[in-house]
Amino acid sequence: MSTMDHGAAHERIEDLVLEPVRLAALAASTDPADVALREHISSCPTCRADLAGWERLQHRLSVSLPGTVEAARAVVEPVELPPSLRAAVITAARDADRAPAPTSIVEARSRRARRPALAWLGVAAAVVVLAGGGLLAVNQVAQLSAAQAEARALSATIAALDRVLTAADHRVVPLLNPSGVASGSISWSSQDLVVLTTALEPPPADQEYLCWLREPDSGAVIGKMYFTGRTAYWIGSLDEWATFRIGPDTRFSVALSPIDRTRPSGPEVLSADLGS
Amino acid sequence: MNELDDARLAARIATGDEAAFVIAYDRHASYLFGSLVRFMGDREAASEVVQDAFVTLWRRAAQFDRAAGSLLTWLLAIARHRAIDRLRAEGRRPIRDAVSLDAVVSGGGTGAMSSRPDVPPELVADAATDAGTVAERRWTQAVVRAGIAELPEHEREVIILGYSLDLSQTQIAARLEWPIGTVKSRTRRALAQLRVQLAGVIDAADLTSTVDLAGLTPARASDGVAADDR
Repeated sequence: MSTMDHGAAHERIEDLVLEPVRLAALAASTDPADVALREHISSCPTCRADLAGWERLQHRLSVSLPGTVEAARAVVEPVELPPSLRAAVITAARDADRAPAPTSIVEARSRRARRPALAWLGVAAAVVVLAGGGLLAVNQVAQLSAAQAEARALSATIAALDRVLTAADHRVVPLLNPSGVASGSISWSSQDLVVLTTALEPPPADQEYLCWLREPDSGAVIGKMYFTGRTAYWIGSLDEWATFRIGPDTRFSVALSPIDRTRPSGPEVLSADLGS
Repeated sequence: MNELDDARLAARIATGDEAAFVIAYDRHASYLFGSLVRFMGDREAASEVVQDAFVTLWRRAAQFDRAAGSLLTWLLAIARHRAIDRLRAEGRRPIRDAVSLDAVVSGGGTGAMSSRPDVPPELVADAATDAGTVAERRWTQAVVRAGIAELPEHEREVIILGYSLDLSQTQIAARLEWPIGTVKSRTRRALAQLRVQLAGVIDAADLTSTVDLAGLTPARASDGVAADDR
């Protein structure tokens, strides 16, 4: 039975962590206090976890600092936050609803791409680049801010498309209009989802195209289409908020709806069966 | 309101409370920016990612889950994701130290490297590691360094001497001509703060061994890959 109680064990741990060498030597130490601590932690998961947490911290500190004082001071020199950033962040948050941005999305199943859709995707990507470049040029003077935001969105779209197409598990499915005619594509990997089409007219000012994923008994709005020239696009990035898994019956839909609706209320204009 | 904990702050932000949003910015922006500048090597790019991260917080505060980590950890995760996306889009890797990889490699590998006091040990591993793993390691290093930079100067100094030169508390006291009790109390405060701030990052890093190159998504140690990057 351990001769060291819980409180004494924590005191000993706090003492040892002051010096990384002493903590590292704990396992082989013959100091009676260290021997008692080892006995205690062998039967105390709380203290064992506490000790492991300190060991992880000490390891990270050790490997993050160069071995000379001058070099170490240089890499941990405080970095001054740009004074103007605070106002810029607040302004950006106020404008956030107008800015296209990647949205979290899905975990996808692994499948092979379909070649015809993939070919269309390449053309659509080129259209995105050309149309985006043209629009940027036109807006450069009058709407510089909007153009910069659009350029960032296009850059993110192309980067996402590049990631999708180079992922071994990516899939590409054609988007169909209500008549069943291929009108764009939706492509995704386990990380990103990209929707591209030139088949949509820009929406009226009080409406938007909502993207949503539907199951037989449920559905979730996952984003909305943004426009650059004649090309409409939407990208999503799998991140820590992933909430929707694509299953065999999952259907992707684009529907025109009044702005700020949480569910589409208008007719479906494009769709794709993702599980097929 | 300045004393609000993360969960309450996020809840207020989720209702559109701009004052709460500003408090979150004032509380975490410096740490975020310090991590990103170290990771990306570009103040302007780091500023843009900070802005992206806070706009994401503004839009998605309702999804913050205190049980999954602190608000800082959440913001760092968002920033890491955005920063890696940007670097990948620009076709470059996160920056390393002033020490060049060539110097490490020409030094003769691990054995030679370990005799070079100016080279962090993990740089040797970078020489033969994929871009995703390098990015993950660089991110953790950047966040750890930013954490140390956020400490008060006296506390920063004891951490530098203790972990850069492996000095004992007695040696640090002698070198800085401080009472030993002062050195210990400053070290304790510094370590306690670092442990709280870095908990999510370090735990994630220690579970992370490699990163999917397509998406830079951490793979877990439980997937059967070595967990340490030492």
